[in-house]
Amino acid sequence: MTESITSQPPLLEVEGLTLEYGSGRRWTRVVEDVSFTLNAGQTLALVGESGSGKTVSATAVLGLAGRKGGRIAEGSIKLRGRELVGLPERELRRIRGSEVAMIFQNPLRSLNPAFTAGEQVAEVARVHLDLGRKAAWDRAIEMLDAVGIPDPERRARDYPHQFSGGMAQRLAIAAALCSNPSVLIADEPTTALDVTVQALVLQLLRKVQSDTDLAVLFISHDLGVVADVADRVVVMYSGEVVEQGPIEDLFTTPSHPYTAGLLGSIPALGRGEPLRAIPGTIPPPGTLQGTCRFAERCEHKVAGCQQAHPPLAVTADSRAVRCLRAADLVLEGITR
Amino acid sequence: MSALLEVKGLGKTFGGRSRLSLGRGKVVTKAVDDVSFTVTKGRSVAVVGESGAGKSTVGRLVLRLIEPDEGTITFDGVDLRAQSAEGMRQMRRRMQMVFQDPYSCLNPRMSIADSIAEPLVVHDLAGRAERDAKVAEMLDRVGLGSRFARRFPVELSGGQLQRVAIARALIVEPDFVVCDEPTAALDVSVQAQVLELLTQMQSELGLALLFITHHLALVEVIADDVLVMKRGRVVEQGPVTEVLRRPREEYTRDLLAAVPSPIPRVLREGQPLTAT
Repeated sequence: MTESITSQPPLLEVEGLTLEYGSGRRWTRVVEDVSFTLNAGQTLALVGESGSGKTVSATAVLGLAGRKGGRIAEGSIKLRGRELVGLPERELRRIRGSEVAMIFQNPLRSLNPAFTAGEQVAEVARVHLDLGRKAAWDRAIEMLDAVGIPDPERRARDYPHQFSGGMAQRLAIAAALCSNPSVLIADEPTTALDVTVQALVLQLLRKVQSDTDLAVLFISHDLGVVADVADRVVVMYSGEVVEQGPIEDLFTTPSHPYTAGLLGSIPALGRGEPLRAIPGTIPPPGTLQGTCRFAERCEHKVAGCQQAHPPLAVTADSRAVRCLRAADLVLEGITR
Repeated sequence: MSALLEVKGLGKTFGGRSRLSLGRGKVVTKAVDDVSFTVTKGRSVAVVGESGAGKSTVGRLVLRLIEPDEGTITFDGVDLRAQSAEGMRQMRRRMQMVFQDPYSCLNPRMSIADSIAEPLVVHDLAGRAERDAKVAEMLDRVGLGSRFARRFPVELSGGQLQRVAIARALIVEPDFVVCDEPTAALDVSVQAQVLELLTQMQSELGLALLFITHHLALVEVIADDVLVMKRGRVVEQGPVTEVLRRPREEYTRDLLAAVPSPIPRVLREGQPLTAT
């Protein structure tokens, strides 16, 4: 066991990822020095507010940064030890959809309205699994059934608009998983859904994961949802990692005031206390240099906080935090 | 205390031909069916349910943004359904609405100050100088400050825009505000800020709220009473503490069970599930 851990590279390894967006001579650092690893069967949550850089970090894994006017300035992304940064588009396209798949917040946007449910899933099977027409169709029906779409043979002939939000997300999951990818990137997959439907979709993701040993990179702003699915959490703020660690440690004993703030703003039943909101707004990426980027919103800040940019320091076994006061702060986490 | 808003037997049927039946049959949906509730001054009533339960329709019917088919709506002793268009326009100064999507409810070509001042202009409530002063005061109250006055919606984040929408609704000093999923499009951390602002405004101004949401955990934060809706009908209603602690209906229990727990699953597993 120890042998295999040391000799095998992690499934996905992101190291020092720095992304810039812009054009010509004006480039803004949107993501700075982000590192994480993801192993088979694991769920890693990238957490943060809108504008924290979580989605662009994940799309960079798919080699899509360039499509939206971005570029990888530094860092490496390795899938089973193989470097993806700098690979030609033709190679990346082979990996995308077959090895690494993605689902989005709005499932209807990732589905083609002009094709039936069965056709879109079958297309993935034809392209990535090299199946013939009939075999691909059968595979599609099998996938619709696996993601819990009732009466799959009939539903396969329906168009995306005939699916409800939750069923459309199941369909998107079926299409994403049809090629047996090893990594699934799930970008806010339940944000647009009702709470009841959200619970079912999360349950489906957990089941798929335990059945197939899928690794999931789960992007969310909602720590309540993350609590339900993740093994490890990376908290991002203004383009950088501020804290990371195993979910049970990070939730019960957060080390960064921002993490504690996010935990305090989760609406939960029976809290018996009002939500604790973090005052202020997230600064746009690239605007704050030489300071802790969270300091202006932090209730624990001291003079030193705005005089230097704190490094991400390893605090304990597989935990790290970017806070000057991490050692002397005792922050409130989730209590049972 | 007497009821500010009293709704009795509210009903709305949407008719129309189904495109799929190719004109052969008329499909009729009873979107809201026999809904009754009261909102007292300074109190807050939540309407919860899944998409399609009719909760947003209830909010719109109450303000007569959609015409009800059945029932009575009495606001401060006035029968709203008997009002003329002009009478209703005047009533709406006292009844405002905050929508789910702050990006689409503000005119992108109007400055923040002009958007917030618009209801004052519509209701002819203040002269120019007084308007500017009121706008500045509202911007402060909702935590934005006057530096936002000359900006445009595109420069603001979702949470900031929702603050603008709240300022715009409150500037005419209403007694009653319908909030239709006002935080559903926002990040959880921003949601907490907006809820904090709403509860603070409510207690400062003595507002009555009708708060529409699909998220039961928010109900506990914001509301005194709750209506649980399913397919146009109210399946359960009462004080929040009663309904959430001792739900009588299976449907309410299902909704409660779906609320994600902030306790990591790894810590929950292996433990017997405790009934709440």
